[in-house]
Amino acid sequence: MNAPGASPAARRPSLARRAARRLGAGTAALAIGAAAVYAHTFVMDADALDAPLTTHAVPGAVAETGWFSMRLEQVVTTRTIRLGTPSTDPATGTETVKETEQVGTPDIFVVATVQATSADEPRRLKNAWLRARDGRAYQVTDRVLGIYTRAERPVQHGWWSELDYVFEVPKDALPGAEVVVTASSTNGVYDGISPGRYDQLLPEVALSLTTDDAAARRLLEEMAESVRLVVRP
Amino acid sequence: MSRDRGRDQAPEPEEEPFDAFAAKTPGSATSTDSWEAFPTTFPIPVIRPDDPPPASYTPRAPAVPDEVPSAVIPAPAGPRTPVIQDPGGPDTAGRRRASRERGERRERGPLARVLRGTGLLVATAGLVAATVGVQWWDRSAWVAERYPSPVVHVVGPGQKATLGGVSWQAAVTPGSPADGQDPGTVSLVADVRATPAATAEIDTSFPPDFSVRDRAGHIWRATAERTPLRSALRAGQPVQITVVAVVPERMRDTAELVLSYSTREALRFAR
Repeated sequence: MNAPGASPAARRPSLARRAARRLGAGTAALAIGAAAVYAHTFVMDADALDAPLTTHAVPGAVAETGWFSMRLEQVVTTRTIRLGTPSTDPATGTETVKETEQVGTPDIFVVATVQATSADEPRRLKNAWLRARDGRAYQVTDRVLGIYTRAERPVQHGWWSELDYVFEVPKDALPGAEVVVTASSTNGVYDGISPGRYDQLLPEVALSLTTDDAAARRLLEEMAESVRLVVRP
Repeated sequence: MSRDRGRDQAPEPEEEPFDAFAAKTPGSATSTDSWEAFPTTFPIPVIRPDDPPPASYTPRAPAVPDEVPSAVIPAPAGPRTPVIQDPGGPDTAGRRRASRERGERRERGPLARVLRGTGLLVATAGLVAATVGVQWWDRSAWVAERYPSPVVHVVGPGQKATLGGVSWQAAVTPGSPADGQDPGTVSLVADVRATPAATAEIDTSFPPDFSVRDRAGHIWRATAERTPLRSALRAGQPVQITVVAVVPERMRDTAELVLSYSTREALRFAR
């Protein structure tokens, strides 16, 4: 506030003060502009765009996503899997299982049995991995077809369906490993045409294979001689 | 910021240019809180030094220099004679212009500052809302055009409806449990009767997709059994299609068959 009676020249801010004010305003404008330009660098790369929304759960607990829910029921390790096909005798009505094939591995098979249900519409949950603690990921083995595991059957709303996922992994992948299941993309052919183009936010569950490393060691020590998987409708 | 603009071009006090509308006493009587003058045809009263001051003119004491003639300073408790209020004549406009040219800052009261700040905030919020709103509206219009809402025709029990050149009729009943059926579920069997109206349309679109739904938006898979070949269809000759679905047991009497060729149009057979 100027003193009463001060002359106009006295009331006007000094040259230095005006220059300082202009310098401050210019600096603030430059800072805002630079911040706006820098904010444009915060764009997601293709990996980030493909990254799903993951829900973690301990063994036995339900991992719930917006599309489906899943819980890990049982985990068995083995080196041999016997594949069987049931048949019913039309005369007696008794069902027999004929083992048609036996597959083995130099590593170990991890058979994870899960229960799953859908939140709204039928979902096929065949995209599964076993992710080791160090980030290595193992797809479900192609030595066992989906007709033996029901993993390709759609899970539906209103009841829990049992699915098996069979992984073929080295022993050291078990401690701290997770069973990761991702919902299938709904983009169809566009995922192949433009991979990483869309931020789909696909739901995913990560189910801890064991509660701790001691349980993982026990899982290896109590390895089953063989596991039988039978074709199920 | 804008009120500081041009201050560099303000002339020095001794170089003050001639202004025909400036105050009669240059360098004095500069009102700091006057309003902008506006054009008027109203007769402007002439103020002479010996006239009584206008009752509405109450300058603040600190803003009045010493050399202001006493004629323009109102008496604090003088007689309030009815005077025509000057809305801002040439004298006021001249004083304001002269004040601005001399680079003087207008003083604002606290209420004016609060009002100005509030106005700026409201204007900023309005501009941001308008900018975002226009983009939202444009995107919504694009999405609505690209992904139109599906049209679902509800078909009453026992009634027929036409879709894709075929007249459809369906009845849903609980069926016997299938092998390996999950506990807590029940089978539904839909007997669907399709009567082609003309073969032209069904050549490209038959058979449709079937599903079973409830009114809450849940969808269950439905599989058509014994679907007739497209080439076997004849106009006016009905064919039978059996559709099987598995639903939760609580949906035994309420789940409905839905038939569609695309996501845009569907028939829902009410039960």
